[in-house]
Amino acid sequence: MTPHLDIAAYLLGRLEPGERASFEQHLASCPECRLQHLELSPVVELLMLAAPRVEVPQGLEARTLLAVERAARQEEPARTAVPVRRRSLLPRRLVFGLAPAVALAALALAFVLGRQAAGDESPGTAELEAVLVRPDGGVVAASARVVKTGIGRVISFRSEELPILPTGEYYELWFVGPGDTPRRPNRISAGTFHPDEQGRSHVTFAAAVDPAKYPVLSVTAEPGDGNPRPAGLDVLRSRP
Amino acid sequence: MSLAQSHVELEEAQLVARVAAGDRGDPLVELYGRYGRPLYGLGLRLLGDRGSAEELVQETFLRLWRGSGSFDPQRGSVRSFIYTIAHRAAIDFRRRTSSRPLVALQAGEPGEERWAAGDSPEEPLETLIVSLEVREALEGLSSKHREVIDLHYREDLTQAQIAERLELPLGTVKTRTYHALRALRTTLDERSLLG
Repeated sequence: MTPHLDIAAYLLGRLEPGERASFEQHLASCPECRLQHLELSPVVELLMLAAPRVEVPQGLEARTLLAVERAARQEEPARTAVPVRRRSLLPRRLVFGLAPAVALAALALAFVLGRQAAGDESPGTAELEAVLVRPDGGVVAASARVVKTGIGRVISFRSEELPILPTGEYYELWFVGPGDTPRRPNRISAGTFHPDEQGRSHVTFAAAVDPAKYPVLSVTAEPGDGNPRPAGLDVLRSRP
Repeated sequence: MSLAQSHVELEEAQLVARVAAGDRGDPLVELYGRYGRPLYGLGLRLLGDRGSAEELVQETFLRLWRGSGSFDPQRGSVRSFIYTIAHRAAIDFRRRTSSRPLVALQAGEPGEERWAAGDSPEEPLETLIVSLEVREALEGLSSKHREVIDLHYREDLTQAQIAERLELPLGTVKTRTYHALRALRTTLDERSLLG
C-alpha cells in the first residue's frame, strides 16, 4: 500500500504511534507528501472549527421565498397590481402568455401561507415539500407538501391569486414523472380544484402516488371537456 | 477584499444583479441554497431559538431583495453583503426583544449538537461565520466523504476502527479520507476560506 494516503490520517491525528513515526520518516523524504501536507493542513485546521450540524426546519426555503414574494407584491404596486379579471374574455392560453404584469398579478402568496405551512407539521413524514413556480418567470406562486400517513399520502396545496378560469375550466395538480412531455405525458393527477373568488386555494388531496417516482408537481389549467388526459400547459411547476 | 474576485464571487454578484433586475425566482433560490443553512445557524447562535433563527433567515432575504440594487461588487463580496445584512437584522431583533440575552444553544436539544470547544457568546462574528461555512462545505461533500470525515473528527476512532465500523477495507477508508480532504479543500478554496 502506498504510504502517501496516510497524510490524511496523519493530519487528522489518527495514526497509531508506530504508524505515525514511520509516516514522518516517509514525509521527510517525499516531496509530494510535503506538498500535500502544506495544502491539507489548513483544511484540517478549519475542519476543527466546523459548527455542529443543524437541522433546518422543513419548508423554510418556501416560507422565505414566499415572504419576499409577498413583500414584492405590497411594495411594487406599479409592477404587480394589475387586477385579475374575474372572468376573462381572452382565451385561456393567452391569459397565461400575456403581459408580465398580468402574469405577476396572477402569482404571489400570502404570508399566511408560509405561517400556515409552518403550523402544518402534521403527523406523518413529509416526503416532498415543493415551491411551485411559473415555468418561464420563476416567480414563486404556490407551495405543496406531501405527507405520508398510515393510510396513504396527503397532499396539502396552497396558492394565492391564481387567475379565475372561464366557466367550465379548472386547475389540476399533477405528479410528474421522468420523461414527461406534452405528447407523451408521464404524470398522474392528484385532483382538480377551483380557487376562491380572491384566487386563493388551499386544498387537500389524498393520493397513492409515490413522489420518489413522480418527483415533480405541476398545475395545469384544463378545459372542462371530460378528457382525463392533460391538455393544458403547465401553469406552475415545482423544481425537481 | 482581494483584487482578483473568485469565480464564486463573480457568480454570486451576478445572482444579486438578477435579483436587483426583478427576478425573484432562480437567483433567490440559488442564493438560498448557498446561504440558507448557514444563516439559520447564525440565527440560532445569535438569537438562541429556532423561531427567531427562522425569522432571521426570512428577514435577511427580504433585506437582500430590497437592498439588491445597492450591492456594488467593487466594494465587497455577496458573502459579506449577506452576512452584514443578517448581523444587522439580528441586532434589530435583539433590540425589539430587549430583554433577551445573547445566548448559545443549550446542549441536549433534539437534532442539534453542542457547539465545539471555545464556545463563547462574544466570539467574533467572522469566526462564527467561518465555522458555519466550514459546516456548509462539509454538508456539500458526498455522503461517503462526509461520513469518514465525521467519524475522524467527531468520534475518536482510528482508521482501523472506522474501517470496522463501516465494514470497509482499511485501504478504502484511507483513500476515501484523503479524497474527502481534497474535496473539502476545493470547496473551502472556492469560498475563499483558505487564507
